Amino acid sequence: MEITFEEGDGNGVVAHVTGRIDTQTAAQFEASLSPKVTSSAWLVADLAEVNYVSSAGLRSVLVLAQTAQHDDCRLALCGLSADVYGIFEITGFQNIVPIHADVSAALAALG
Amino acid sequence: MSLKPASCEVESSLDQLETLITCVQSRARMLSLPASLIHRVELIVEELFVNVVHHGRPPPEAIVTVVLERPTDSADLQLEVRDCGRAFNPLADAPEADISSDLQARHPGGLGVYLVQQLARHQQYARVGGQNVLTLLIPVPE
Repeated sequence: MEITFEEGDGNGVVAHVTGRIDTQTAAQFEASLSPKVTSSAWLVADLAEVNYVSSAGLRSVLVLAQTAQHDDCRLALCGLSADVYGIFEITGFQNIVPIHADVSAALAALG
Repeated sequence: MSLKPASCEVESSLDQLETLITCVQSRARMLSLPASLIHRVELIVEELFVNVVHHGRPPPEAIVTVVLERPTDSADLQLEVRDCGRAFNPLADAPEADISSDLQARHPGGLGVYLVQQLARHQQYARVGGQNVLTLLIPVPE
């Protein structure tokens, strides 16, 4: 898994994630994004290049969303494939964190 | 002519997950499954394998066997996962998944098994000759 960060306006960050978020990579995903969530006003995780998320990845998303709410960071996801979105939907995760079509839609929603 | 059931066998240690998934992917491709169904199979195998390692706790060198077949007379894929850990039925023994609490109250336990139960049409557990045997049917979209 690879993650690149792009700084946005108003102390925000876009994280572009590539690869799988599974049992073996979820800890890296969480550890890379967690400090950004803690120190930023907003964070958009772009998952357009992620084709697979297992429950380990969902667990990391939950921890990040809880951290974001606690630390007043506005967290959103975008670019989910139909398969990945399906996993979020089955587990009710579309109610945990805002999900947008792509980065520009996420930025527009954040204002 | 019928295809010999191809099985994937790995030691029951988390660092074997990638090897197992690669094997299952190649088996799924041999069966000409569509990409989104392959993802579904990978997910089910990952969740069950991780469950075996974490909860069944077989010795690390013990083998976990995954068999994926597409019976000619069925609209479903048949997936079998066998391990020789202590008797453990993830379908009955996993904590109930929380899919509706508010963000701060939400806890992540049981999500893996919940996903398996949602993605497979039928799941059956048996303890056979000192092995845990899980058999699942996964619908193949038309």
